Amino acid sequence: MLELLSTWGLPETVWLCATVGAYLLARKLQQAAGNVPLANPVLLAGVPLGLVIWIGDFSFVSYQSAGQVLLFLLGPATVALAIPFHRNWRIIRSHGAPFLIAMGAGSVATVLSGLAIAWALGAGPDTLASLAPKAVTTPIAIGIAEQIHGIASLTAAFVIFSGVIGAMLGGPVLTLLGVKDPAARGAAYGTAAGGIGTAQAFQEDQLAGTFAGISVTVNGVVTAILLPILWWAII
Amino acid sequence: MSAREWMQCGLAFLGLTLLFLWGTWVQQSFALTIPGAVLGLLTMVGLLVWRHRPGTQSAVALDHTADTLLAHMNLFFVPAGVGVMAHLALVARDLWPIMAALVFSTLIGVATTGLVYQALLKKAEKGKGDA
Repeated sequence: MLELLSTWGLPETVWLCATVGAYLLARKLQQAAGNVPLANPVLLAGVPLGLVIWIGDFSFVSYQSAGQVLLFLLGPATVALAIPFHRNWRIIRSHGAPFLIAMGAGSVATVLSGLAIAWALGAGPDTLASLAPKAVTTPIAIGIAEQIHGIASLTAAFVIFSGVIGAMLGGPVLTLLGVKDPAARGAAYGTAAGGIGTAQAFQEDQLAGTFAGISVTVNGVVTAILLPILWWAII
Repeated sequence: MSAREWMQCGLAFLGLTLLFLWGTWVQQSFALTIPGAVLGLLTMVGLLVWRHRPGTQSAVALDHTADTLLAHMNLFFVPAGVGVMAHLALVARDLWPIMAALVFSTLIGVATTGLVYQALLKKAEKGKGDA
């Protein structure tokens, strides 16, 4: 952080303002698009910013120092996940075993199938380490990626992409399989498609959304504890 | 919001930041593989279980601060999203493995969670019916 202060200048200030501005515009666009999963604010703000840096041939280093400030805020935001988690504690306890077993099964299935498919198709070690935590919520996924030497940026992009896929195709898949219970549908959205899946679950049903939200935090915490340990034990 | 409420939300934010730094410190001092922010989250849950007095001014400020941070969490990922630019060569090399893994593993995860949950719910209902 101190290092950051010594190199902070006008370009960093401009980039920081541009990022916040792009995000606010992206939120407006997302709302105008009726909150469809593909209208993701990170995508809508990130792609134009990336293009501006690329086309203008601006210093990526100076953008990244500006980004560090926002990335730091992910820390307190992750801690803040404790508050809704605590609020929903009674629901978790009353639905206890089936909920946790289903979530654990879904989480293991996502991580293992993702790694197996990518590995079988010839993905490199960097890609695999960045893919492993992609089913959990972005702040926790970035933390896990750092622990298992993945690339945090790629993990963030993979989380968002998975979320969009899960939110768009998850509903039809669940309906096809005859999964009708809102709690089960919510848990499925939350476990495999994180925050974007949760938003979709809330559009389907209030209860499904609540369950999705709980799954995101529980799955995130459990994965954060177990995945790095297993990763280093196996590799 | 009044000046007093602003200050309480500021304090709540400071508390969340301190817990994050505490988690990072614990992670580094004990060389743990659990991300520091998650250790901070678990400490926060512990504190809430230990003494949470709903309705008090500080609890309301904490709720408000947490909800605001979480509602705008996407803002904090934008730099990470832009950072993908630096790794385009890797993405291009592994594009098909990445796409296939993301699409199929997500749908496998959705299907597994949904089916297992529904099966367990049906079993529980059947158990009740038999009793």
